[in-house]
Amino acid sequence: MKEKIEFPERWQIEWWVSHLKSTDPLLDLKLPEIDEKWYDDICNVIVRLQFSFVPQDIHTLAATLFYNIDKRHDVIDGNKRSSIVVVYLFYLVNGYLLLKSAKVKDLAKKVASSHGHKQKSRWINKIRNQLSKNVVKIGDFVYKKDEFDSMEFS
Amino acid sequence: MTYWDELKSIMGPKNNSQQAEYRDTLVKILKSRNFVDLSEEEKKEVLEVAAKDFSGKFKEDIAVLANE
Repeated sequence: MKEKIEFPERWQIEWWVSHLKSTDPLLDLKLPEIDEKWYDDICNVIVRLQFSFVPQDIHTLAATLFYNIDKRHDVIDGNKRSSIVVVYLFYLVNGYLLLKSAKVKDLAKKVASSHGHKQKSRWINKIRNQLSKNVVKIGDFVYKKDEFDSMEFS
Repeated sequence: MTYWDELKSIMGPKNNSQQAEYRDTLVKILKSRNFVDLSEEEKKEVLEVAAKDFSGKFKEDIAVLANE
């Protein structure tokens, strides 16, 4: 059965960012400058993706979202950090957890420093491969619920 | 990091007063499976818990990028 893809809504992005900021004051200082324009821009990128001809496959969409935010040319600072924050949320609303092993920092730096958009599809494929290997479906935990109940948390 | 390490990272440290909250929220996700099926209040709760998880895992990456 084809997977139904969810796109984060504005209130979800706002709620997400507000909790990132309140959860850790240090993280708040390190996030890009997030204002009304930032929300408008991110929502525009998401809406354009939603109605694009990009294959409706979760990892291809996540990779395209990551690339499109990372390569925004109208913003001088914060694109790499924004791409990580938003793609994490995108996976989350679709029931996936992005793992640290995805090495998104290195990926964001490489994409941002790539020349123009000439090799966009190659980069999206590369991002897709890296992301898809480093996410877990949250729902999969349900099959190990007994094990989950007896887990000891350290 | 293993599958279970990831799950533990969401739970937070042992004896943390928020552990029960993390656990309840995650179980809710497990039962409903799809974020879209949750109520608005539940979605907020999930995002709140996930923000704690994100802060733990990606804080360093964000900090490094901010300082470059």
